[in-house]
Parts: sequence; C-alpha cells; structure tokens
Amino acid sequence: MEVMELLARGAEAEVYRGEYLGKPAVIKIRPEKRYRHPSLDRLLRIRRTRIEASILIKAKRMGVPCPAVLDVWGDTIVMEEVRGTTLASVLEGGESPVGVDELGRVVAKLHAAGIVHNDLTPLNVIFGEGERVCLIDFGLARYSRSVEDRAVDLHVFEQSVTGLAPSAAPEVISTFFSSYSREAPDAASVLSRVEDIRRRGRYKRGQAKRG
Amino acid sequence: MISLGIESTAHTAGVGIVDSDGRIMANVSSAIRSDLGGFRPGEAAEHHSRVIPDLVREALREAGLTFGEVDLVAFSRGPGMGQPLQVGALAARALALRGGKPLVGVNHPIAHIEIGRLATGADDPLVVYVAGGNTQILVEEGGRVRVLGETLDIGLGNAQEKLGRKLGLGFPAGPKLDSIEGEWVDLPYTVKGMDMAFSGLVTEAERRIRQGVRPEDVAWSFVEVAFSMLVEVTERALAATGRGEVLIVGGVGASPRLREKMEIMCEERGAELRVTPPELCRDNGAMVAWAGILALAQFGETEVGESRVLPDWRVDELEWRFLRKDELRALLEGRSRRG
Repeated sequence: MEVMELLARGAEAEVYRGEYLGKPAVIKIRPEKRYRHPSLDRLLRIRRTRIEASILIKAKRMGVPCPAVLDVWGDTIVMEEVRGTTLASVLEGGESPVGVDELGRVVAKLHAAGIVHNDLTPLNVIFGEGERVCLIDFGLARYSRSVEDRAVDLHVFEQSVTGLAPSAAPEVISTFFSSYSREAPDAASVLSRVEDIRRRGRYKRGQAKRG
Repeated sequence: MISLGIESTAHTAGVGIVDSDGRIMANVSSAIRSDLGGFRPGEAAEHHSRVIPDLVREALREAGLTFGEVDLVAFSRGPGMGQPLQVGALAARALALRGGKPLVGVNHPIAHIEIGRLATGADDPLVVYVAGGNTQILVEEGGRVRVLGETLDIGLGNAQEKLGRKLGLGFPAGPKLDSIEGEWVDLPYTVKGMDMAFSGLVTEAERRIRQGVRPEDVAWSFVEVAFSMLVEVTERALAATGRGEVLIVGGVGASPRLREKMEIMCEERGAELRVTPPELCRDNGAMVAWAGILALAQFGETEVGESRVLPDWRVDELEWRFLRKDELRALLEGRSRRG
C-alpha cells in the first residue's frame, strides 16, 4: 500500500488517496487521540473501524452503491476510489442535479438493508457517469431499523441541502422524498417522523465530517 | 446602567451586580450543602428564601451602592427546579416593584455563556456548556443559540453526583472525583453523532464497584470516559462548523482535568480554547445581572404579570444574539433616548 495525498481530515479520521496492489485506492485512518487514555482510545478506534467496514460490506451486498472494501486492519480501511462529483459541488455550481431521483431509491435501499447513514449531507453523495449515485463516508453509520433513526437521515439531508443551496433545495428535497417514499419500508411513518423532528426544532445541521 | 441579578435555579442562591461596561461590582452566593450527597428541591427553596435577603444586602455593600442606584433587577427564569426558581423570581419581583425598576427574566444557560464571553473575550465561539443538569454543544447562528449536540439523558454533573453519592463523597462530588487517581477500568463510552449519554456509564461504574473493583480505579476511569466523550463531540462540532474558538462554561467547566483534555484537542486542531474562571463557571448572580443588561437592550423588560418561571425553558427556544460591546452600547443608548 502506498499513501499519496491527504483528501480530507475530519474530526475522527484522515482520508488519503493512494495505491493498493498497484491500483488507485482510498485509505481511511483513525489516528490516535492524545486526549483519551491509550487503552480506551485503541479500543474505540479499532471497534469503529470494524463496524464501518462491516456496514460498508453489508450495504454493498444489499445492492447499495458505496465504496468496495479492499482491506481492513487495526485503525485502517482501504477502499475503492469513487470517481465523480459530489452533490455539494453540483449544488454550489448552481446546476440542478439529475441523479436525485436515484438517490432517493438508494437511501430507501440502505434503510431496507437495516442501515442508517447518520451523515447524509451533499458532501457524502457522489454522482458518477450518467445517473450513477454513490454514498460515501459511513463513519457514523449504524445498524438500525428504527423509524426515528431513518427520519434523522432524511432530516439531515433536508437541512444540509437547504443550508447549502436555499433556492434549489425545495425541488431537490421534494424529488428526493417522493422517490424515497415509493421504495422505502415504512415510508409513511418515517416521513411523519421527519415532520415531528422539524417541529421539535432541534438543530441538527450536517453532522461532523469524518472523512 | 447597573444591574442586580438573582440566581436560584438549583443548589446555589447568588446575587451579583454588574454595570453595562461589564464591570463585575459584586458576586456573592450561598449553596446548599449535604454530607450525604444530593438535595431536595424544597430544601433548596427554603435555603434560598432564607439567604437571598442577606445576599442582596451583602452584594450592595460589596459594590458600595444603595439599592436606589441599581437600574434593573434580573433573575434566572429557567431552566431549573421549579421551587428554587420561584424563590428567586419572587425576590426579584419584590425588589423591582419596590424600587420601580425594570424586571428582566433571563435564560440560565444564556447567562452562563454570556458571562463566559465577557470574562474571556470570546467573540463567536463554539460553546461547551457543561453543568449538573445540562451538557450541550452550542453556537449562535441566525439570531438564536443552536444546540449542535447534547446529552441524551442526564447532565455530566449529575452523573458525577450520582456516582459520588455511591462512593460517599458528599455534595458536590464533582471536584473530589476529579482529583482521585486510579488505574484504567473499561467502562461504556456512548457517543452518537454529536450527542452523548451518561446514564449507562453511571450504572456500569456502580456495578463494577459492587463487583469489588477498586473504587478509586472506577472513579478515575469514569471521569476519563465522561470527559473524553465531551471532548470528542466538541471536536466533531468544530469540524462541522469550522469555528476556531471553544468556550467552556458551566459548573463542571472549572474542572482541571476537562481543561487539560480540551487543551490537547484544541491544540491538535489549531483552535483557541477559552475557559471561564471557576468563580464565574459555577452558578452565580453576576452572570444573571450581565445577561439581564443584554436582554433588556435587545428585548426590553419582562412585565411582572408575565414573569412566571419556566422550568423547562430550552436555550434554543428564545431569540438571542451575541452582541459586540459597541452594539450593546448603541442599543442601550437607543433605549434611553426613547425614554
């Protein structure tokens, strides 16, 4: 494995571009946190790395487009490199995105697989060729089938799109919600829970970026 | 403008006097204590009603003022325990009516944050508010203080007190727990996104003690885990918001161990750490007096007839802006011109 370039440094992880067995790859490392006791720190970093890798593998198996895991050890995950443009940069460029319909289906599939992403912001959605959509950064993802957790995914998406592109947001969100609700399990309860969360007024803008 | 503030949300009754330049002229308090740990709201209310009149006199003496020279009376309206809150509100209403002075009810977390900004010079920080009943990561944005992350069950301070009671440390147990040295014991660490939970940690710590693990090891590890969780969510919020400044406020904020951990994290992230001095971290009257001036400048007085206490008043339920000193001055001048 060869590490070449730092792509992102989040609160918990660093993401590099590099090579693995001669092919381009993305390497995600959870570095040591000196503010935590070494035993606690090691335990957390290894446990979280394993959970993230296991969720990525499960999501992939269930047909959710996400980076393929090439290798995992200790605090490191090596993944396939996903090429394309993030939804964030499409929105910032003022274009109206074309893959949002597909994104709704992809998130529905993720939820049907018993997984919630927990950081569904436009930075973590990549559009490839055509309408191909890929979800990235599963650092906060969890196994969950709870209506509340699913609704938080949709709410985080709604809030972060609105924050990034207020004028394009209504159309993006309504396209996303309608294609999600056509395919997602318990879509009606999830959508009505999103309503509740909005009313609670709890501020949950895009969660921390963890690379 | 001179403001007298009364604090009574929980165990501490406090009276402070602050002027509109942010000069703290007096800050006196009396807290209910208990050797067994814990207290009942009724006991706190009784304690506060006994001490507040004397605290008011003492504060005026310390400031070298007569009550006639005070321009407004502020009180903590909530969130907090109903009975103690009512005692402070009652005293504030009586003083305001007797002196014909404006009454201003203030939000308790806002008062903590604003005294921290005043004392440390923090401008637009990410705020870590860590106290008995509250543990929240906050920012001001769009005329409101927003909650980015918080405890999903009990406040970090209350978690410390629960374990402290089990260990017979008396109340408050937090500072004593902080200074216990021990060895590492594995305890549950619960961070979900930018939220934390402490109640499972207390339960497991108590179970370990019952199992015969050395209490000092459990106590040391408990503090280690609880503070690490708080530092981790703070780091996440820093990364998410891109702020460059962290301000610690609230009673647990006086802890040297918390400060040390936050310092390491902030240094690694290149963020500035500002910690409110201990005497202004714990519940006190000066913070209420200062927030009273800021509230009066922005929103005017609280009518006595509408000044009921609000025990569940969340910090994100009210409008609030972090004012610069010149903005405050302009607002106050505008008010006095309107008469």
